[in-house]
Amino acid sequence: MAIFNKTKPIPEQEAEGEIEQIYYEIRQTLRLTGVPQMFCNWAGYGRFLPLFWEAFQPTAESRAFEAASDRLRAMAVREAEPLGKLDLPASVPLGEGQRYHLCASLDFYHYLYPKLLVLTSAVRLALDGERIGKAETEERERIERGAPARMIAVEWVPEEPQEPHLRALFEEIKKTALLPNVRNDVRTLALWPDYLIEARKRFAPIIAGSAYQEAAERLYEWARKEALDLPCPIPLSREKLKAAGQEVEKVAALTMQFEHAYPRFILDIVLLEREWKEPDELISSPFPAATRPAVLAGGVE
Amino acid sequence: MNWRAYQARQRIAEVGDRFISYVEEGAGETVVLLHGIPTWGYLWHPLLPVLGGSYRVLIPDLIGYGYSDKRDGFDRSIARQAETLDAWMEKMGIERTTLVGHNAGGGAALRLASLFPKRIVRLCLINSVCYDSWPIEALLQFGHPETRRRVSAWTAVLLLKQALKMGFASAPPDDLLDGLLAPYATETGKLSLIRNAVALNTNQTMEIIPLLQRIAAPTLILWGEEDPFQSAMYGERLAWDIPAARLIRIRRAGHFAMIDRPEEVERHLVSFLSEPEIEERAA
Repeated sequence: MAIFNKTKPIPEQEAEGEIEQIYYEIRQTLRLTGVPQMFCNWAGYGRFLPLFWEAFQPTAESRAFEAASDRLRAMAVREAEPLGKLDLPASVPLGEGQRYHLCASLDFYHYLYPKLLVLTSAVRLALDGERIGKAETEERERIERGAPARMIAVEWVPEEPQEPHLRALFEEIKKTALLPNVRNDVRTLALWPDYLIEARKRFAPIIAGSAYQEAAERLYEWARKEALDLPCPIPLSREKLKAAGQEVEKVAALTMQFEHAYPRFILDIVLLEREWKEPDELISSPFPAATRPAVLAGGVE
Repeated sequence: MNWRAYQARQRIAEVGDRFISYVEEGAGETVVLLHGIPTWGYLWHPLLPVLGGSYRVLIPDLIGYGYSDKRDGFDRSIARQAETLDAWMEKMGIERTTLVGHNAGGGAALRLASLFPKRIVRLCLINSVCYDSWPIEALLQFGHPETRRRVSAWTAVLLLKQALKMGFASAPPDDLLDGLLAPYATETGKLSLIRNAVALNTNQTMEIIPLLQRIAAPTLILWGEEDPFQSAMYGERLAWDIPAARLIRIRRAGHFAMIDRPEEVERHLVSFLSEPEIEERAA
């Protein structure tokens, strides 16, 4: 059983000052319509989030990071192939509009989670003293900023929902959760409670199987390899954090929880997406990123 | 019908980079129903069985509202709403239609009818915003960007629920209010509603005053007399300025006249819809 930290996360809507500014940068650089829970958890640890972002921002905007996440996503689609099908659409009737919102939300996570796994792997490796990246002066391609035009405004049911049946469901989820909070995608799927409840039932036997766990392990290892190959240095050592007065062990433990959880989340989303889309379609990024134009003083090159 | 059952009936139309959720039922002459702020298409659900048997009824959620596009980064003013609705109608194959608008949806309907009068067969306005009748004080405050930090989505829904209650002459059922506010119960929904509120702009109804006389379509103005938000005085002005308009005051009804006095509103609306068009009358 993981030891969950008790530090209070800072939700996006409550962020002020420097944290608010970093959340904005995270949305713009990672091309998202919302700030994932992990960053809100990190923000609860004093200076950790600002130090992390200062160290990771050059990587976050790089083509290399985007490409590493794309490769991980493609690998997850192949890994999910032998895990079977959930056959959810047949058992949970959804209207056309609900299906549209659900699929658009799944696309959000299909894009997000591989990025977060590479990112957490890189942070863990940096905290463990591994050297990531080459010379800082190396020319690198950067991707465009801002959420893609067709990415849905991701919605999350509150962690403590008002509806009694959802509240009970979240309590149940928390008992076996890998993380201190109800995971983001579950809070999104809770917008369609019948779908979420049925999905959990169908996932149970798959998750318990060794094939699923082995696939998750391979994604974890692959993400570490991708993280080690990232081009930019990530100057985020334990010594640096300690010097800034941070509780390094707690942050490292929390980050490890996320790093171990994300491979499963990635597989889960692929399994849900496969109900609607062919593997060939899922292998490609749902939101391919154009290259960011190089800027010269006084104009765009 | 509860709001989840209504939501399950919604379909999607992509209009440029935005998408619109809408309900469509029935066949025949087209009737488009437009909600206002802070509601969504669910507002009209009691009218679906009444009109769906005789008409092709379409109920879109305005952009930024309900289950239409809620991304943070586009204009939600009634001017933009009218343009988007025009593009949406084009996509839906609607050349001409009857428009029924309530609150800000009435404002969008007024702009459509003023700017594209040939597209409108009939116009019905129910306690609509118009002239400088809006925005109301509470929504001006709600639209402040700081509202995002000051109140959680849950608190915002509670406050809006209290405010909505004032718009009814008789106590509305709790599940109806919950349903009307359901899309705004997440932080994303709340933020979208804040952006909708800040887009409310008096100038966009003031600038069309000279154009109101261009509206040739028969126009029915229904006004709940006990509306604390939109005074019936504005209904009278509309009845003077729109050539083929008539005003019917609904007694013992508030801002949500169609819910306070459903049978009366339905009766007037059904009778209005069965009246011949102007050209038919002339013939």
